[in-house]
Order: sequence, then structure tokens, then C-alpha cells
Amino acid sequence: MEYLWAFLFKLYTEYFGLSLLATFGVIQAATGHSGRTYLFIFEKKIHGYIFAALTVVSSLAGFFTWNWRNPTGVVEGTQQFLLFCLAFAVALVLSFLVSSVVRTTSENIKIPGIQYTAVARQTTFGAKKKG
Amino acid sequence: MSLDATIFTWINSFAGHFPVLDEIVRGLANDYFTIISCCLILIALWFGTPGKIDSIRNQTGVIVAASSLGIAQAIVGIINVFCFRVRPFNAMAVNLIFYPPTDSSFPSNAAAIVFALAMGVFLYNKKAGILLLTIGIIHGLARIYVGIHYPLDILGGAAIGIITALIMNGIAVWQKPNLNKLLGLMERVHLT
Repeated sequence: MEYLWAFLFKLYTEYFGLSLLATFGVIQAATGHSGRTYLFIFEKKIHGYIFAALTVVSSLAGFFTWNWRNPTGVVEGTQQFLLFCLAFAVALVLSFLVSSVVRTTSENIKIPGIQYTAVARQTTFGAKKKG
Repeated sequence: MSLDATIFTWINSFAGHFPVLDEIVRGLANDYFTIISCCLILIALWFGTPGKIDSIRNQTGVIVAASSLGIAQAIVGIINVFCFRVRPFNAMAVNLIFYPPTDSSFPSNAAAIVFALAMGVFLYNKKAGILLLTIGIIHGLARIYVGIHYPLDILGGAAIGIITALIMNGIAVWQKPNLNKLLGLMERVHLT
């Protein structure tokens, strides 16, 4: 029984990891292309495209060769849906956070007050308000 | 032998003779690769469209596609309660090069999902829709090739997906003001 749970956990983790990699990459390429800077973690578009190409291709290669490493059909439709949604949500939160931190550190804007306030003003919400 | 079985036998007869082709088709037929690819295209459409008007159009398409996916799956689930079709590998001698699923052969759940997504997007973005429809057709053929579906299963799944997307699009048009409110709300929290 323990072996079965460990086996399932390995499959779920792999599915989640590959989905996270792919969704994070696509979010970066897409937001770089459309100019949604509040989610984009790079300075230049081209860096986002290269990052996306690497992550998406490696992730899709992982899914394509799933049969070679793992039995197929174990992760059922509903589980796939939940794992993918979770991976997408994590990728989205990660994009928000990393883009906020990167923007805060790279722009090096001196804002009086404690660091928390400075970060809060330079987060995705602050960036969006500035237009 | 029925026309359905004849076409199945012809397509499946190629399996097992070309090892490289078999591996490629197994990859295309697996439950994960195609559906994940389609979902990534939806995410790209959602976040990657420049311009307000085009962005709203594509995002509406994504909402229609995603809701169609859920409804199509539910319809397939309901049909499976009342109708069970034996898989081809349980009914005749086939070249099975894939894992043997145990659920009903008709209608194809994967085809219903991919075609629901494809049609939902196609109504709002022709290029992306055609790309997704192509993926759906390749996926359907791959699942016949590996020996787990009859052509009619794929056609049935595709029909469910397409009809569901058309109905969901009708609802989206009817509920356009509410849909715009939802998109506005999502824009406020930076999710569009």
C-alpha cells in the first residue's frame, strides 16, 4: 500500500512539475509579447522567448515521452485537471512575485520608508497603476 | 464488418511495422501531451494578445473553450452511464501498441475535450482554432492507429465537443454584459 502511494506521488509530482514548467514558460513568453509587465520577469522580450522555448520544449518532451518512463492512464482525467490548475495557479503567483521582486531590485528606485513599503509600491499592483 | 471497423482495421494495420512511427504516434496518442499542448495555447491566447479589443475577444474565446471542456466531459460521463462500447482490442484482433483503457470506447473523452477547446477558440480566433482543430484530428487518428478507438468514437467525441462549444458560445453571446463584467473584475486583479 505504501509502495502504491509512493508510486502515485511520484507520478503526480512529475505531472505537476512538468505542467508548472510549461505554464510558467508560456506565461513569460505571452506576457512579454503583449507587454503585460506585471507578470514578465525579464528585462527584454527576447530573454522571455528563449526562456519559454527552453521550458515549454523540455516540458512537452517530458509529456511526449511519458510512456517511456511511466505507465500511462494512472493519472486520471480529473486528477490531471486539478494538477494542471494547481500548476497554473502556482506559475501565476510565481510570475507575480518574481516580476515584482525583479522590478524592485532592477529599477533601484529610492522610496523612503521601510523595505516592505518600497516593495509594495513596486509590485505588480504599483507597476499596473503607473500604466 | 461495419464501415467503422473496416476503417479502424485499415488505419491500425500500419501499427507495429515501423518502430519510429509507432513511438511518435504513441507520444501523440497519450492522454497528456496533446491536452497539455492545447491548454498552453489557451494560456498563450489569454495573456499574449496585445491590444484591448483583440485581447477581450481572445479571452472570451478561452472562457467559451474552457467551459465547453467541462460540459463536454460531463456529457461524455453521462453517455458512458447509459452506453458502453467495447474497445476494439477486446472485440477483435488488433495491433495494440498502447495501454489498454477499461472505460467505454464511445465516445472518445479525449476527442471531446480537444474539439471542445478547438471549437471554442475557433469561434473567436480562426488561426489558433485551426491549429487546435489540427491537433485534435492528429490526436484522434493517433488513438485509432494505436488500437484503442474506433473512428466513430472519435467522431462522436468530436461532435460532442463541437456542439457543446457552439452552445456555450450562444450562452456567452447571451450573457455578454456579465462576461464583460467578469473580465473587468479579472483585469482589476491583474488576471487578464
